[in-house]
Amino acid sequence: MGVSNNRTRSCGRTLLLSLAVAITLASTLGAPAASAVGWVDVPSGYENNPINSWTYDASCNYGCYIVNTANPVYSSNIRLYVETPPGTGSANDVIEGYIYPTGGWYAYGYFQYWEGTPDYLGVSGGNKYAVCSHYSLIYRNPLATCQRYSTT
Amino acid sequence: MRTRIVTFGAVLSVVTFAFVTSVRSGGAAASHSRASSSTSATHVRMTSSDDGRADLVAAITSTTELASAEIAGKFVNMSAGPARFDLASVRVLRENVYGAVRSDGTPCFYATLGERGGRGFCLASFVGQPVVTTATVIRQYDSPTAPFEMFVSGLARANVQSVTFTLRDGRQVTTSVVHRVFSVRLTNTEPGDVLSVEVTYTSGQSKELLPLSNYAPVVAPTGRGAPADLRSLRSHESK
Repeated sequence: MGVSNNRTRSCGRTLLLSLAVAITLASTLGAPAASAVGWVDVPSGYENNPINSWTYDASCNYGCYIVNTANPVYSSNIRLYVETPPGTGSANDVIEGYIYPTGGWYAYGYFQYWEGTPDYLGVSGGNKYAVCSHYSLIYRNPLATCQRYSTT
Repeated sequence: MRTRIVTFGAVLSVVTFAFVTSVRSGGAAASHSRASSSTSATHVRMTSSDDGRADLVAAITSTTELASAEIAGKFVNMSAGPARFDLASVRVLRENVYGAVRSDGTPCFYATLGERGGRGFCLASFVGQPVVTTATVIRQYDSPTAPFEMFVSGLARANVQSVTFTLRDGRQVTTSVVHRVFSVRLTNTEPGDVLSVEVTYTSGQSKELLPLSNYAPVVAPTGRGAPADLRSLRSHESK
């Protein structure tokens, strides 16, 4: 009987230990993915601030209103939710893409006024500025939403 | 007895691990869903025209070849608020171009950009045009001094057979329309290098598409001098 009780206690400890290991594993493997990786808004606050301090010359061509990451970041995708009010749309004047830290475009896509939202550029940007820019005030009401897929 | 309990413990561990992981994944998905819903709420569609959408939906659903799971997964990135895709119904429309109908009835497309990734877009309306195009400009390799190449993908009405791009260096590149979509890769090409876009109808007649800026990028973001349509827009805003 005593031996049986010891075995039961031992098996109980094994069971609890297994549970603890499982929960720890799940927490360790799951936590980073849930907290950081995914679609995030490219921050606003850089509008009307063409990044002419770089070699990128917006000159208000496609770039009077710009949202961009404050620093180069790793992004695997970028997408743009934008609506074009009927009758005011204009082709080729809204873009999303990546700019090198030293200036100059790596890749960009044009949002076209016939498109339904979102426009999706499934290109990995590497360590670059993620940028969306648009020329016109019409995209500020409602405001276009630029998102990048954070990989870290 | 001990063996049974240990076995039970191991099974329980695996189940617990799977459960906790799935709850975390579900939480992430729910979080993404909330973000998307928020986005959708901000951007209510203002275009009511369905010009061409129903035809393209029919073109997608009448195609039988299913896309790989990897390609189908790209469509998740084109969700809009509660509107989602049935990833098991993503179709191959032609080489490198795929289509699916979103739950809000919008036909959406994904065109691969060679080995570089892809471009996704959804049709709101043909806006009265015979074709609509979307351009992606990308360095041929990851260097700020590398030459650009341009990928142009698009959608065509039923009576369009092919689309021809004439480039500044004299090249003429023609892409056929298959299941209402076309896609072309223009190496050593950047905005302004496409001089004309022409469609050939199934009747055999051809027509140059104007204004060019509706079909191909005419000015790079680094360029100076806004295209005419942008200048008029600016004038409109200043009133």
